[in-house]
Amino acid sequence: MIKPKKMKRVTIVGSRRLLKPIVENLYNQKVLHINDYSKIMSDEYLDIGHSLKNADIYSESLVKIKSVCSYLNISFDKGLQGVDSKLLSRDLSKENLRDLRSKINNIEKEVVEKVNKRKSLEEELSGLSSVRKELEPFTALALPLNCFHESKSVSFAVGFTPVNIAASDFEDITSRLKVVSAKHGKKQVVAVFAESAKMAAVLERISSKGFSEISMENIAKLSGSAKDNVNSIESNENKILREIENLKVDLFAIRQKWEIQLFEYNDFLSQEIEKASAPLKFAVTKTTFIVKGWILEENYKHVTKEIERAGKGKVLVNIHKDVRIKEAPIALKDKGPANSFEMFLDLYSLPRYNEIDPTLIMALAFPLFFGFMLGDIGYGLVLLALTVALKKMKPELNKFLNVLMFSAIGTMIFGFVFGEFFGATDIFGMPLYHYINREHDVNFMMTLSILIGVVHINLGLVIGFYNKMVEHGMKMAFYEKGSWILLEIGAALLGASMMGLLPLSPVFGGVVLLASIVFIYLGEGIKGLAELPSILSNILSYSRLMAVGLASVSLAVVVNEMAGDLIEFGGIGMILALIVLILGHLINLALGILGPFLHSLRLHYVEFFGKFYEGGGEEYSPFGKNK
Amino acid sequence: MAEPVSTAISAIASDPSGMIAIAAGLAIGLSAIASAMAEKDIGAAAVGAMAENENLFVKGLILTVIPETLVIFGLVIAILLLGKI
Repeated sequence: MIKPKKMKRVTIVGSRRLLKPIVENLYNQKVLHINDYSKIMSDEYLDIGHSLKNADIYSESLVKIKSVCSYLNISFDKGLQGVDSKLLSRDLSKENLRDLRSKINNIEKEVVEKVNKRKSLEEELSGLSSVRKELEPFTALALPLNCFHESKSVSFAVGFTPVNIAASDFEDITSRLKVVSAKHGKKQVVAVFAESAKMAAVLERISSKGFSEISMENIAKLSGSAKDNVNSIESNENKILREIENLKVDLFAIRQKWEIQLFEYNDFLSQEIEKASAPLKFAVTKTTFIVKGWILEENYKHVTKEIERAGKGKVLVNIHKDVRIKEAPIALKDKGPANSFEMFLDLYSLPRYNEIDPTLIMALAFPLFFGFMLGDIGYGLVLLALTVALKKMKPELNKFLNVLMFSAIGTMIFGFVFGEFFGATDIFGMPLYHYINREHDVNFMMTLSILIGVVHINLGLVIGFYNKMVEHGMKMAFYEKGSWILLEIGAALLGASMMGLLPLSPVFGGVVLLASIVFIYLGEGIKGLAELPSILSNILSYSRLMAVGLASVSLAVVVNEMAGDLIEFGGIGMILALIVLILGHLINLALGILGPFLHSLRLHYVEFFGKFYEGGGEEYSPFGKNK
Repeated sequence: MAEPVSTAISAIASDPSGMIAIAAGLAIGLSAIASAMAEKDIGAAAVGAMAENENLFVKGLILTVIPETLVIFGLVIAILLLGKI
């Protein structure tokens, strides 16, 4: 239960003519974790294998399907919506490859044509709308657009001004000038016409009044009244919008029509490509192929037989002795409900092959720590209800929610121990019995937390002892892990005898302590000596179990007291009290989930794992298994 | 001037619980500031690293919470002090 599954290393050798049936067989068995040839050996007689034939056609078709899907907004990440994907596992391998290819090409052509048309219409639309926006101020001016055509003798400028401008403002510059102004929305739009020679001076004058010129790029080509132009542009826009709408309907129809087929093709082609590119991980000579990898010990006999059958006796399957077993990929054993706690290993790192899988211990300790910190029947119930509800809505968060659910149960158990219900010591007037009063027995809680720490850390050291023993033997295990346990015993003996709790001379404890320090030096060198105080800080770190809990219960009590004071006012006070209660407990619950979760996790990752866990195992991912 | 100071000192000497309470407050407050200063730098760097590679989340989390031990020492001292009132 507590070590990863046993593996067997295997080498398969066969004639290259058998490559395809063997790949097919391995793919269907989904058992072989392939080691890349380039990674495992390099040899001048061996070459890297080539993909099976048709791999390029498969890839090309798959790329087309992906592009069609992205045009049609289809995503297959979560399978096909509303359809059971198992019903769709139609075997396409019998279908003629050329037919398949031409079908996919036709779909692509149809879609790309419509999409391109839509794109060009959208471009046209945005061009029209920019012309329309330019024209809008001119509709207010009510001048024919011909006035704004370039001319040699007359220059003009059109723009918005914050203040009124009149021809009299420019008397000192020129009298050959005309100003037309009108209201456009909330702004004043002004057109100034003047003889070209004086235009620069005029422009300078109006800019000082806050004039801002508007763009007229498109206006110069237009004639007639601005309003007529706007009207015709609007009718054009509507026409294009209708066309785009039609295209969208067409594309949706295409999507409806081909969605299932596209899904099937996508599935089939992805599989075929995986198969076809498998030989890239193989080693080949002119006539043979070699593939190395790992299979589970539990079914290696059956697997071997199947491969040999597919190779019709012309394939050799060799199972190796356990020389390089340390490099084996990791498949964690099934631990029933505790499986969800593997999430924490996924986040951290998988254990190595010889290491103990700590999931089971975490499954016990994590909810315990969490519950010890939050410890409230009311909060536990709310959290439980929350996780059960979320599990229905978000199945992809299943593991995380299971962890929270176990934690909620731990919270309720400790809620009974501490006799707390939303911070109160009674459930709606019914008094709760408490074994420990967290708010007042602070010292007792601290001692208890530290005792939990001692047990947890020593458990870690014992596991570390076992891991080291498997890897380097008894002596190193004692030097590296046992010495730390001895250090704790020595310190405890010394402390107890100095305080007169033990009828022993302090010298005895001192000797044990010194001996352990020597062993630590032998096991870990100078680094170990530098880390000596860490054992103390690691154990003291567990007092956070008390501290986080105390903060949580204090907040809850404060919320209750505030609400109690408000209730005494009566009337509106009752409503305010209700708001304070709901809001206060919601905030405290949010903090009470986040805090205990992170602190519990930290105690595992830093204090506990630090004692034994190395990790770095590669996940067992057999060829052919969907990722 | 001298008289009020000396009465204050003798008042403290006869009942030091106020001073003990202040000491407990300082023990937890200052150690919390120390933890915070250490964590802000580590946290910022961890978030930066995570932006590059999301798999570093756990490593970042662990590194970020390491200085928390400081405030826990402060808390232990504070509780020990409060026990003397």
